[in-house]
Amino acid sequence: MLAEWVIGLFGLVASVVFFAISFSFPEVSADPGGLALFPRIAALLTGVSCAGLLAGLAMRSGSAGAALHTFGRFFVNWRENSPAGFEVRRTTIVLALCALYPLLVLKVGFFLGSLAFSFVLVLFYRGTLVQAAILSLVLAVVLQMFFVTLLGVFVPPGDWTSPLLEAIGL
Amino acid sequence: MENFLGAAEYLMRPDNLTLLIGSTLAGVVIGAMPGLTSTIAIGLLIPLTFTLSKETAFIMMVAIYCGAMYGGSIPGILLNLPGTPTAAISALDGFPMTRAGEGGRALGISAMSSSFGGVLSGVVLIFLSMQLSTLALLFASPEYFSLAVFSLCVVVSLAAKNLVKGIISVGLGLMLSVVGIDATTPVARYTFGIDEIIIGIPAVPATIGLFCVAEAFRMVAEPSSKAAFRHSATGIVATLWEFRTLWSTVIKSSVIGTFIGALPGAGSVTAAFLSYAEARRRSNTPEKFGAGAPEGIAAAEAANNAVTGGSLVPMLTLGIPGDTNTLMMLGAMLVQGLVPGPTLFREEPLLINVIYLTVIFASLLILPLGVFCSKYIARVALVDRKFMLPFILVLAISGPSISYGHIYYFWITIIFGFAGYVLQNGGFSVLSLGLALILGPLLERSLRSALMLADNGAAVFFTRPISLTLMLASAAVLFFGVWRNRQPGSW
Repeated sequence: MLAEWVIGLFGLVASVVFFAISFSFPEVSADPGGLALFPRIAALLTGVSCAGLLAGLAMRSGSAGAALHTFGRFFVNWRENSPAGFEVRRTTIVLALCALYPLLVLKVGFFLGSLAFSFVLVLFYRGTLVQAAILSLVLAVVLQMFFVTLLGVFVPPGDWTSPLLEAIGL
Repeated sequence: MENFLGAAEYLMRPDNLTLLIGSTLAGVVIGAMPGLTSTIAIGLLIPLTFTLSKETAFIMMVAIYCGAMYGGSIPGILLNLPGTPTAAISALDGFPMTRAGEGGRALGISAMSSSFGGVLSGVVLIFLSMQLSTLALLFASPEYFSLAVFSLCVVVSLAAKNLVKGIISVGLGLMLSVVGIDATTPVARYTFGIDEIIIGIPAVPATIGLFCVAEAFRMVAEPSSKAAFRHSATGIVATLWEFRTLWSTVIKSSVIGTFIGALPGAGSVTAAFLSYAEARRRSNTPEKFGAGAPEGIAAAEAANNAVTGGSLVPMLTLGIPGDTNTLMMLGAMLVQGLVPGPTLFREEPLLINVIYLTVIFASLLILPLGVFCSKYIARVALVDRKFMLPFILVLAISGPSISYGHIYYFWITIIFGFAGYVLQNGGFSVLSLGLALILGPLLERSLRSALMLADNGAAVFFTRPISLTLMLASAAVLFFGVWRNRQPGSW
């Protein structure tokens, strides 16, 4: 239910924004469709559908209070010792870790960033230190070799670690 | 014919043959691992198209696709832990057979049916794609627009559980597809001053995020895999003789799977389910379905592997992907500057024929792999989630993004992964959004070209016969979707 409200509201707001911004696009006489036609069609399609979905959800909820209760449940679930609470907490933590991963890659490089990320994840899933160390090291080495040796792509060395790597000639 | 023979010779070279066998085996293993899908494996291989030849890269992608479609059934039958959603249907009868001491028989039927389904769809792929590519010569902008509209209507009607939610998913995908520099008049749209977004939403990281990272997030909340009680599985080879009693079920299901595979968004689950339902309807002993009926396994497995060839037909001829795997392959083609359609058939005959033959040979390989290796492959399904999830997340986030050389692509994968997770939780169709994201540029380009050339404006979509047919078909499909939504307990 919460996800439906979130998507419905996001879609409605996004469609209004898209529709409004489309009026700022330049017109080209040789292009009757122009830059604005397609975004407006997409925005209308999304906006009308989202409005319909939200209306249906509101009718199902019965009142504004019941609808707000749905949003409130997320924060209640976070504290609860129940399957719903477990899901909310676990998913939020993993999402936060995933969001940190690109930052790690930027700062300490792809190899160390992937190693640290997978190490923390294995520990998060109640793996032992040894299991976490082995898996994260194997994963980081395999990926580094796969991308650098096999594919020949450039992997970021990291802002903090590149001076060290340059000093040792890598 | 000489292109076909040239492709056969190319495929039979030792290095390519080794690659074909290895990729098919890798696909089977990937399919057997819950949470790891062929979509992510194919997404990881896209950068290979830059370093290897296109033909070699597609041998790998197509072989993994074929292998993965079968692989999910192995742990499903032996352990009741299906590796792929379609394998859940095979497990309905496969696991009861394993518990009754007939696991080997079930595995043999699965391997045989999958192999046959894939080969038949490969043959259909060859003939149907040649005809369709000729028909595509008649396509101009109005027809491409109508075809894209039809594809989106099909996916909304079949893939989305709820029509309104399906339309929302499509609308969101279309809106996202216009972000960035316009291809026709280089004006930046909806970039909000962020330089990185000028290039738009890159399809490969976005679709990997939607389908693979979102799936990993969903697995986060599930408890770890329970220890599965293992049963023995013997007598696999002897099962191959069962083809003489199951041949009609296998052939019919293969045809259903091929046809369903060609419909965008219908996918292997629909194909397997429809074939299973049809096999039960025709069976003399329908009460045995769900309790260990060999026809149930044969129907589901033949259909889901037949989807491979079927889904490649619209992808190669018209640029419309049939499922998430062909959606990724289409992304690989577009990145390489390959344009699906008659031009592709004219300019890349080796690639086209290599794809045909890979479907057929990979499907043939499924039989020996299934017969001799399935008992060992099933063990991958028992890998603990604490090892699987880090592996999947690191691979899914970094794999498709690292070769682009900018951290922006990591963020796209993660953001779309979260979006896919929320969408799935809300009952929205992720496939609809992914397809709209890919087809959006084609839709807009065709719409604007058609309006530029025509004197009668939007009526051009209804005055040309092929375009009108597709528009009417779109309306019919949407009507079917509305009707289906109104049925209680509809699938």
